[in-house]
Amino acid sequence: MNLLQMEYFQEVAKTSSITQAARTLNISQSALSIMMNKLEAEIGYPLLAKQGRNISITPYGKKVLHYSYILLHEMEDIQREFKELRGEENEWKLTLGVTDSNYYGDWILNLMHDYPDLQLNVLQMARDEIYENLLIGKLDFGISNGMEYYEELDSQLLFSQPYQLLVLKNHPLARKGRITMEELVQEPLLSLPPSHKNRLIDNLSSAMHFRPNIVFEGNADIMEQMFHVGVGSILTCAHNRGQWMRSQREDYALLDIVGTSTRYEMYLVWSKNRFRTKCARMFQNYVFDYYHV
Amino acid sequence: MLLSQLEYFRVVAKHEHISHAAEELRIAQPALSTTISKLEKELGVPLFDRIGRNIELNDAGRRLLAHADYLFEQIEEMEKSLEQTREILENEVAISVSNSMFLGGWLHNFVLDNPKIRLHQRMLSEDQMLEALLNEEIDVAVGEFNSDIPGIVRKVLVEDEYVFSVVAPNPLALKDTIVFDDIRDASIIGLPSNATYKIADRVFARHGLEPKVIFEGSHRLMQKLEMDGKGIVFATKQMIYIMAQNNVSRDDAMQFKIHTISDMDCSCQLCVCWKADRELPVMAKKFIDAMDASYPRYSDDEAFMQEYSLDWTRKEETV
Repeated sequence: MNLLQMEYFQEVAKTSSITQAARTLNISQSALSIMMNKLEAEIGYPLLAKQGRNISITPYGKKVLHYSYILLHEMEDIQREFKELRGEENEWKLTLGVTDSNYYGDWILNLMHDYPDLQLNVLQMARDEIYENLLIGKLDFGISNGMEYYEELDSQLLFSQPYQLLVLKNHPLARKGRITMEELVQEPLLSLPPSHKNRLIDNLSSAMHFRPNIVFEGNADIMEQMFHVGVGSILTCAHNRGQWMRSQREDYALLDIVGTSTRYEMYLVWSKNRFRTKCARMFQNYVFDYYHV
Repeated sequence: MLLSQLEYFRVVAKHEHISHAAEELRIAQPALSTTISKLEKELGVPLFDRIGRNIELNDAGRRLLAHADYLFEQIEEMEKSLEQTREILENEVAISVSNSMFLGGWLHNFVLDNPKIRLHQRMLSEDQMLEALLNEEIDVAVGEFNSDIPGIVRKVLVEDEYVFSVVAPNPLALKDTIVFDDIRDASIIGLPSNATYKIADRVFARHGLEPKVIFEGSHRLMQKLEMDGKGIVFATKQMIYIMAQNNVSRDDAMQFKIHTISDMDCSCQLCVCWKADRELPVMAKKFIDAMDASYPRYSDDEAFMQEYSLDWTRKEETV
């Protein structure tokens, strides 16, 4: 087994076609076929299955694909670490996976301003995808709402905040300043669409096992408009509410939610095995400084 | 940088001695020295401190060793996970049956013989099974299939026959021979209407009719009602055999009078089916082979047939 085979295998898996992969890799189709046969023979399991014209990846192929990313990223890691050992500098480039794009708005602009050479890729994905991509080395960091324990991952809690409900000033509970879980279940709510991978309302409702009364789903702008005409209330937390309160009209009130200890928690997550370049160390310190952790 | 270079490097790092490492690797010492200096050249820093004739892993070497260890650890993990995948795939089988009674007793033994099996079973009607087989959602189907189906391999397990059972208070129990007209208007106790395998419907359908079902319920409840002479219950000879083997006590069973219907073709075939032109999973093949070899057929059990004092030999097709 060698790593070039692995790299080529990744391309075949990506395109599900020997022909297309050969074109991208700029080698002949027969050479690629021979290489894949050799890889299968060396690993001892069938990795590809012919399905008519196309090629599908067998369950064994999927496992090999997963590990191929780990192995190739580890090789890159060696190069990065030795580059710094030689006193050279690595590219100022980071790839982040974030569960929710609403939460880094303030500091990310400052960061880009302070480090104009930094190439920052920010990809929105579900929590599980962040973990998987950290493990296989596709991401440098994840910023994840909630954190499960993984042996290979390290994490740092950035902040933990109670959920709150944003209501109009004339809402019957506005003067009380709080709402019970029972009342919240009934409350008409506005929310981002379900396609949004990490909605606050899903976090809270799955932790508390209730079905939220979502009356309107839409993007943030239209949610804000609907909020101001009284269609429903918005679940939020301290770090998130800025986006709803940016209008000049101060016709809103915040209610504390009584009867739940579930909080909105944001973590910075990274792989223990990954070499952290100078750039990655800078980023980590920057985020820790910002959140005072 | 090649994996093989890192493999050699690990051995040299372990021994901190070129010729000992060369011995372990069974390669010539100069070749190994070249590999290591090539690696150092490529990485741009020495990995060993040379002290006289000895070599000693330095800081950069230790860093590389951590990476190399991790790499080979992951390769081992990969091999392990491939092995696990193989075990799962080899033991996975998805089957479907139209009446779970068909597998009573036999399946139990098959699972005991294959303790690692990962069995998935769905109850489907015969039509649904064929679709699921062709879509490869299931590997094996067991049910009544009376003729060949394109794209499907059909293996007959039992040449079976529809019969009905009836208990003494019911006048039908006293008759010696039954023709279809005798039961045309009989009250029938049957499985619930959403059941996948309803024999009364099949028998009556051969006359273009529908059965008069007075009660639908589970097998257990059906049996109780039948004991009171409330109605008749359709089954196949094989089903009665399996019931007798499994859950009906002998004394209970003797009270049932089992009738064939003399003036119609009641033959049916209990089959095991799978998709043609498909490489079946290992466990599916085992399942089929075991079924073929050890499925208990009523017609092989002479003691049973005698005890039920019924003409169990299949009539010649009357068509």
